[in-house]
Amino acid sequence: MTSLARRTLRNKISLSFGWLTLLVAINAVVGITASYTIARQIERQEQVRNIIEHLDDVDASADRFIRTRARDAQQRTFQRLDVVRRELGTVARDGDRLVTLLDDYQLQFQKFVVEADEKAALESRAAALGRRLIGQFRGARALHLDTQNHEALEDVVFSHILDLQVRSLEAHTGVMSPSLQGQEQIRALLVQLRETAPARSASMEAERALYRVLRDANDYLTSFEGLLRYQSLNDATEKALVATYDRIRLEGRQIGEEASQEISSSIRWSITLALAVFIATLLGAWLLARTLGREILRPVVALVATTLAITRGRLDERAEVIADDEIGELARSFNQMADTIALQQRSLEQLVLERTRELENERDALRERELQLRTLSDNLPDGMVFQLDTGPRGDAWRFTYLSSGVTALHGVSMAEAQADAMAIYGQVLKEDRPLIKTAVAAAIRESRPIKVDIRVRRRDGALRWHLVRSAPRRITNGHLVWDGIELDITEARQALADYHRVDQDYQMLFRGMMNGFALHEIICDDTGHPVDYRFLAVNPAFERMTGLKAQDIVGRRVLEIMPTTEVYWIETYGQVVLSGEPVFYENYSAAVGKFFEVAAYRPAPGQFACVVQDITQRKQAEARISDLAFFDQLTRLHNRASLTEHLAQALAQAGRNRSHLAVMLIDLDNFKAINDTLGHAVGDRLLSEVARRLLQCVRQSDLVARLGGDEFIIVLPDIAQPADAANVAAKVVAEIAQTYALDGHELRSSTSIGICLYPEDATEVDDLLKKADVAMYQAKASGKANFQFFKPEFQLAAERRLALEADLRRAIEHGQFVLHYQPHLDLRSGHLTGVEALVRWLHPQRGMIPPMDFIPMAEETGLIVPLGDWVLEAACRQLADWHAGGLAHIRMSVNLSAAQFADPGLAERISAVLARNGLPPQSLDLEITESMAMASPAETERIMRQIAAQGPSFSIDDFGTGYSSLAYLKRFPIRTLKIDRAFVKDIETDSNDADICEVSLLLAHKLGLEVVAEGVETPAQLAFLQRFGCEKIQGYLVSKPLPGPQAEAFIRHGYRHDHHDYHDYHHPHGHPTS
Amino acid sequence: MRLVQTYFVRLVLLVLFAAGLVGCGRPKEEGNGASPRTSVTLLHYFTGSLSGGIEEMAQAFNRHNPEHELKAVSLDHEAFKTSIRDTLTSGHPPDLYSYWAGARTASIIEHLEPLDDLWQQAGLDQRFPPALIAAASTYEGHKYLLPITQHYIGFFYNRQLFDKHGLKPARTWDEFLALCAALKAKGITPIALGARDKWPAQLWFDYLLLRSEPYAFRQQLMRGEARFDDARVSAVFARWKTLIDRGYFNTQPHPNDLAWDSGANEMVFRGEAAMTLMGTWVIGYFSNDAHRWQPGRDFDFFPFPTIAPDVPPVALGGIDGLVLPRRAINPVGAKKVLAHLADVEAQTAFSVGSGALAPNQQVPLASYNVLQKRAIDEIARSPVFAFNFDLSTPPAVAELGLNAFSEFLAFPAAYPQIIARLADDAAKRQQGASPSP
Repeated sequence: MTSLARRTLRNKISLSFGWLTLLVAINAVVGITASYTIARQIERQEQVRNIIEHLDDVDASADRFIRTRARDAQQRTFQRLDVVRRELGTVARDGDRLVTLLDDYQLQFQKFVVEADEKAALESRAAALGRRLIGQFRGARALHLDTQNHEALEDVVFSHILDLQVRSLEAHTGVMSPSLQGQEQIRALLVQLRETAPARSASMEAERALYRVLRDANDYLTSFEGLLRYQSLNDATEKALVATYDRIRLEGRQIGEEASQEISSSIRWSITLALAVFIATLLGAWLLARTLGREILRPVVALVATTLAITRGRLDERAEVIADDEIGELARSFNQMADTIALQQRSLEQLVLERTRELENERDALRERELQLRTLSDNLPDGMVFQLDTGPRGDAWRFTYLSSGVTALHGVSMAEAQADAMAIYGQVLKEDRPLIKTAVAAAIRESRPIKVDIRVRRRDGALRWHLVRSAPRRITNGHLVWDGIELDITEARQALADYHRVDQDYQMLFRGMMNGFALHEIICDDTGHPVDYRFLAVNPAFERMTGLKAQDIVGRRVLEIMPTTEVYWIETYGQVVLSGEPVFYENYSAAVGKFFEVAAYRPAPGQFACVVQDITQRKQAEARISDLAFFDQLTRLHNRASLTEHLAQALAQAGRNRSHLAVMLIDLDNFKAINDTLGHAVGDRLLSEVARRLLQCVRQSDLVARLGGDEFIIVLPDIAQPADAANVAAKVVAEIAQTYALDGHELRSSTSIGICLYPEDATEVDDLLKKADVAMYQAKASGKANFQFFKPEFQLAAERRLALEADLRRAIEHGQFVLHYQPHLDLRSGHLTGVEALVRWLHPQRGMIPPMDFIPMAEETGLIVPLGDWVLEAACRQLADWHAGGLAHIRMSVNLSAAQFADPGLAERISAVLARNGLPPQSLDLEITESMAMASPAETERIMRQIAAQGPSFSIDDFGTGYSSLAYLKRFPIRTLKIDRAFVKDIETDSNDADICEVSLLLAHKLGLEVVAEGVETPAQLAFLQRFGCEKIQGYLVSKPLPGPQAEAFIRHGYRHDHHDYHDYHHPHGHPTS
Repeated sequence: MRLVQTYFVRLVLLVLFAAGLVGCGRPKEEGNGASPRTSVTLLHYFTGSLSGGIEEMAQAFNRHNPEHELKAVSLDHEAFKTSIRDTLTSGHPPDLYSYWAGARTASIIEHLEPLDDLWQQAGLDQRFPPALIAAASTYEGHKYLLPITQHYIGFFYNRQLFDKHGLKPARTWDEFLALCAALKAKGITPIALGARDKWPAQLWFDYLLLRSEPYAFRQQLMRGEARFDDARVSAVFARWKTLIDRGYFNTQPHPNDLAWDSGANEMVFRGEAAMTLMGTWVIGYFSNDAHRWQPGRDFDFFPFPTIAPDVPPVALGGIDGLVLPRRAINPVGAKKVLAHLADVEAQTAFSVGSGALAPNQQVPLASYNVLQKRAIDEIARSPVFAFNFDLSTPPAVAELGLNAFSEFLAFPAAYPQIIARLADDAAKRQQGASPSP
């Protein structure tokens, strides 16, 4: 509105009218535009509705075509598609999406139409061929086919092809879908016909006619197959069509919704705008009216007031020029008139005043600037500013300016320094002065500033680093002047030195640390998603651990180095960088075969560092611990703990599957003897070998475990019948019995196996193992080297045995044993020459217990050692009595158990017993069984020799029951072979046994040994033995074993004895040992 | 007056501003820059083992052409022979079809749009060999078909079987007869022919004719200018019959009962038969996962042997291409697609994907396997590339011929009567058919 002030009155009035017209015009334009917009939007809404209707129409007509194959429906579908395409172009903003879908739809529909046409064509072709075929067939009587071919053809044409045609018609009417199950059959029939018919038909012409019938039948089939194929293709296309239309409908609905939203928002906008413009117009009109009134009236009133003031003599009064119009012009003339009078006088005064003020200002400014400069230079911390005049030749130094910092820097007052520049220069260390000189010379030569770091010995003695920067310039009198600054940089130097030291330490740490360390920088894509990372630094430990060399990887991206790096790791590290949360994980690197423990953290934004520890050893130790916990270290089989766990699982599974399971407890029969005689090392080797053989006997799915000692378990999960377990057990028994060659020893072993079945015998782990154990005992009891299934009665026996075992311990403590003595008769002299001591147990409740009922138990429990010692002692005592009583020719045979034999102190104990009883060592004969002797012959020989050297002799007991190595028999220091009673017993009836006795005798004589035949009961046996030169006999024929006094009487008086006093008579075949 | 004028100018500006406001009131007017994407629709018969690459090709095109979207839909190839004609005339055809070059394309050109302008702009004369353009693309002096794939017919044989018996491919007819005799003597069926679908038999007719008579005669025969009972045709059947009489073809099963793929190919694969006359599409068949034959090592091919030394060699085969219907909705986009598909890249991709030879002569030999390379050589060596019988005659005549070949295989001795009837029937049908190129 200010511009209005410059207009003339006339202009103001016409302008006002102009404005008003303009406002009306704007209103009109806005109104028309808004109406037009609203009308257009309503029209558009109509179009959108139309499109959606047309889309429905497309679907409806396509559907009609699919159902009826009506051509007009097909045409209509295409037409509607075109219409919708056109309309979409004008209406919808996102129409191209829909257009694309419509194009899809149209293409699918085209495909559908073509396929439908093809199907129809095939249908009509098949129908035509079918008709032709039947016609030809009717006329085929002319073909002169024989009856068989005719019938076959009839079968093909009528039964099959007509059937197909009927089914095809039914399919067409929707009754059922046609199928071609018989098609291959028909083809085969056709081929058969084609091959057989010509040979039988009459003429070439008939043959060719038949060929055409068959060809048509073939073509018919082909058409029909095609028809079916097209049916399924057509169905697939229809599905695609429906799916596409679903998408179109969805899209259409969306476009409709978007459009109606747009339309309503357009209309809202238009109305709002029109209203806004109308209100603005009203406001504008009111403002115009008000402004106009003020612009015209106010200047007139003002001018009148000024005129009145001038009239009253106030010449400095001026009229206000408010407007640029005619009234403004008038006011300006008044003012000019008044101005002219006072102007010149006033301007002169003004000039003087201003000049004075300027001068004062300049002075103040100068002072202020100097003060600023001084303050600035004095306040320079740890430094000073100086100006040094070095004279015309550079040799007369004088400070022309110094800031107060000189005192702090050099400990010298400003006055002193200004008086003598050398007071400053003299503080510079002599070593650094050349630096200054060189720098000064260079600065002058090249006219550039100097910059030197020098050391200064301050007046207070402190050594400080100073930095001097100064620039030379020549002033008008020819002097060289240096403007400069000197700073104390001691702390900075110190900091730098500290930094270098820390850096060095860090480098040492980085390079020397045991853990691998790698620093990385994460690489993200445009969206900030981590896609890769780059190695920034790695330490030697990292290189060692990973085998990656720093020069190969630093600065490179990981995907460049290891393209197979999983995205997971990159994202994990990305997360570390993003969140700052460190992650810890263990990782196995197959490339280097090591386990790593890695801690990844964020040392700085955008970076992550990995501290890598090689935990391979720890991992191996863990694995080893787990191995120790579950595997037997000797045999590598499962141990007891592992067995329990696996067996429990197997039981659970068997319970679920209702299957059967067998648990076998395997115990080596003579392991103790071997272990005792040959030592643990050999025993361990044997166990390992046994374990290996056990594994060979079972399937992969069976479990073999070592329970401890020489006990093994085999679990057979899922057996069909007990016989399966029996088969395995038999195999194990046979396998274990094979010879072992260990450390140069040739060993034999055997095993007894107890088998317990789930669920028949037991259902719990412990119970199963216990009952297998019971069965195993039974196997041992029934002669070893066999297997037994658990039976309830074994349980009772086991319980009895347990009770007996307790009794046995008590028996040793309470001395319930007695010795009986069975005499040997020397056949050559007819005299009794010795006795064999045999132990008996006088049980307080059960009476006399035969040895075979408790000796094995004593062996198992180890009680055999104290028992054996007692026997030796008791027998020697008895012998000593007898010797004292005049029976000095009698020798005593004592049985040694394996455990005793293996005792390294045996030799000493024997000599001690002999000495204690005052017996000549030659009167003692020690019997060891053949199997004991041969378990480890070399060791046996060593022990025998050791003992025999002291005087006692040795006999091999039970000869013939085991395996003997002749070579060893020859080398053993033995005197006697004792032929086992088993062979003697049937010597008359069994030629085998007779042979064995005979050969044993021959062998013994060959080796220079004497023979004692055991268990001789009849004169016939005696006769036989005598015939082959047997030296001695022992048995009921001579005497049964007798208590000490009776034995003595028997020796003294011969055969006059009453045997019936002794309870062991009922057990004549009891095996006398120990 | 000047004042009034300046105010009038301001007034007009203000009105325009107001109008602008009204305009802006309609949120986001349709002027959003890029023109909408238009579809180019393509119906094609590249299915099964020959389909390799068509989808990728469409995607490649769509990546490079933001303004068009190629939509390719496959349709069983049988439907292309007859039923497709209705869509051509119905007024709503797709923008592009795949089609067989030769007589089949010739039979529909009245519904096709010539591609002469595209040919000019894209310089397609440099891309394709002139003989191929003449045979496959040019009809009545205009270009109608853009070639996409090319196949070559030859004897595919069991290489290991040949090597085992020390046999070599035959170059002349005498060598061929000797080869067959040697194979037969070893108890191997020399030639497997699986003509259950009829068309495989025509390859024998084609080559026997092309090797014994000049190409011009074959053209006359195909156009109906010569008759099928011509003595030269009769001689072809006589020669063919000698092979049958000598038992060089399979008899059990009879060729008319044997499928070309699961029958004849398998006989060769199993070594029961030594060779089969077939197209390069069997390379894909033998190399697939079910057979894993290595081209050149396990199987190989040799061209049909020379019969008359003075007759120049003619290569036989088929070419597939794309045609543009006259009534296509989006001919501009369709031509873009055609230009794209003529490119070395697209043609290479399709050749690799489908196992066919690429018609574009700039496609590098390195992209072919050893057999394809040799097929390329054979085609290059032959002055003429001829289409199969059923692609060289009008479809109606082709049907008659295929039936006649089939009947001949059943009754070799009756060939004089068979070709006599064929000659009469074909002459009738030729009159109603459009001429072949």
